[in-house]
Amino acid sequence: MSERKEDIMDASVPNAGRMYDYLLGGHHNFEVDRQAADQLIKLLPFAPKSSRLQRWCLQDIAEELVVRRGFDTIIDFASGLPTQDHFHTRVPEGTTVIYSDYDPVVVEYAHDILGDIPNVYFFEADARRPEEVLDRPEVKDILGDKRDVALVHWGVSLFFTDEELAHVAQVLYDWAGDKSCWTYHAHQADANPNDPAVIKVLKIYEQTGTPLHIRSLEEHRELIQPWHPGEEGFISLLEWHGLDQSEMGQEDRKVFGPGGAGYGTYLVK
Amino acid sequence: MVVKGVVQSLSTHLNEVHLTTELGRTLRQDFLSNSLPISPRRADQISQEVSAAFLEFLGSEDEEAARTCGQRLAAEGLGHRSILTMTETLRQVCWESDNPVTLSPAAGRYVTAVLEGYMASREASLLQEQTRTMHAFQRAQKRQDQ
Repeated sequence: MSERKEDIMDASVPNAGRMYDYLLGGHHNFEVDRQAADQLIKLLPFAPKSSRLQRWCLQDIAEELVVRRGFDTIIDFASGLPTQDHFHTRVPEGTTVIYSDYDPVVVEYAHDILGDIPNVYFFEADARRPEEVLDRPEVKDILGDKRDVALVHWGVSLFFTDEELAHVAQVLYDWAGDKSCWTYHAHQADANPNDPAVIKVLKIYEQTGTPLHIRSLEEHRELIQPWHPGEEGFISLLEWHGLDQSEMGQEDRKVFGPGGAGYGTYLVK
Repeated sequence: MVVKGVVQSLSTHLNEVHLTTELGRTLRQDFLSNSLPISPRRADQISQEVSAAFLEFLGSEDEEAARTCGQRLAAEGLGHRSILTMTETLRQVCWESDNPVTLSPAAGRYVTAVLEGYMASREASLLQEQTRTMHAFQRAQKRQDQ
């Protein structure tokens, strides 16, 4: 991933976050992002649907964490824009939601969207280094001694190297209380990295400065240790939404794997 | 000009359950193939809301309420293909009802108002997004320069 803020903010080169927004049907993107995403769609026609499968989960995650599991604090990494389908719109008043993203433009835009909504915060931080959020003085003030919280990395593990993912898992494990939950998306797990179309897509993302790291579900399991899935285990995103593989064509399944967009799980200590 | 009393009785010619089912079916057909950021679980709720709003319209002919319904659907993120197919389904159900001669024109008035509200809301949202994007870039750049 590009370290330079100037590169992240450069509107003349495609940006992975803005491409994702376009794939979702959003308008927070520019022509250069749409062109790159259109190339991606030509190679992988299921990509917009896969992106939706991923995004739709946010509402369910909010309900699961706050309503069913009783968390009153969600800390989300690589949040993207906090639009109307994001966590803070789905949780009861009084729930603390801490969003973060490494893109300075997203951070500024997010502050504009969120305004003065109480208990909802947005910080600039890199999801590969969760300590950038957890060690912030403002976050320490917000949380106090609280460590039993809901942590979320959704739709982002595809952009992490193995070392980065292992680092994230360990930092979160060391920081979090025993009753914490880490909602994790094994992003595009079991996609086929050797498919010729996927190889071309990997090159597109290299040009954005955010290369992709496709791995199997088993590799995800190894890297996220010592966290482990709760009783539900890993759920394919198709199954998550009550859909079946008839939503995917044969070619789509060969490329994306049976999950449609990978697998989600609620990790526990 | 339609007499309110006549319109009020129109809702009895329309099966709300059938309408809701058809709207839900239409929404679910499109949800993966169009710009629908709303989760498929919301499809049933949306179809119930639209169905109830239409029946309310048959009694009140309140076009402003119909426009508000359209605005709300846009604000929630309903895609343009979804709103068009839903409104088409609504018209179709009215056409196939046992009183198409009066239900269909009412459906036409309702759909027009809903789409007006929807398009106005989408346009306002896009303009707001443009301004916010510009300001976000300016502020981010200023922070970087400091």
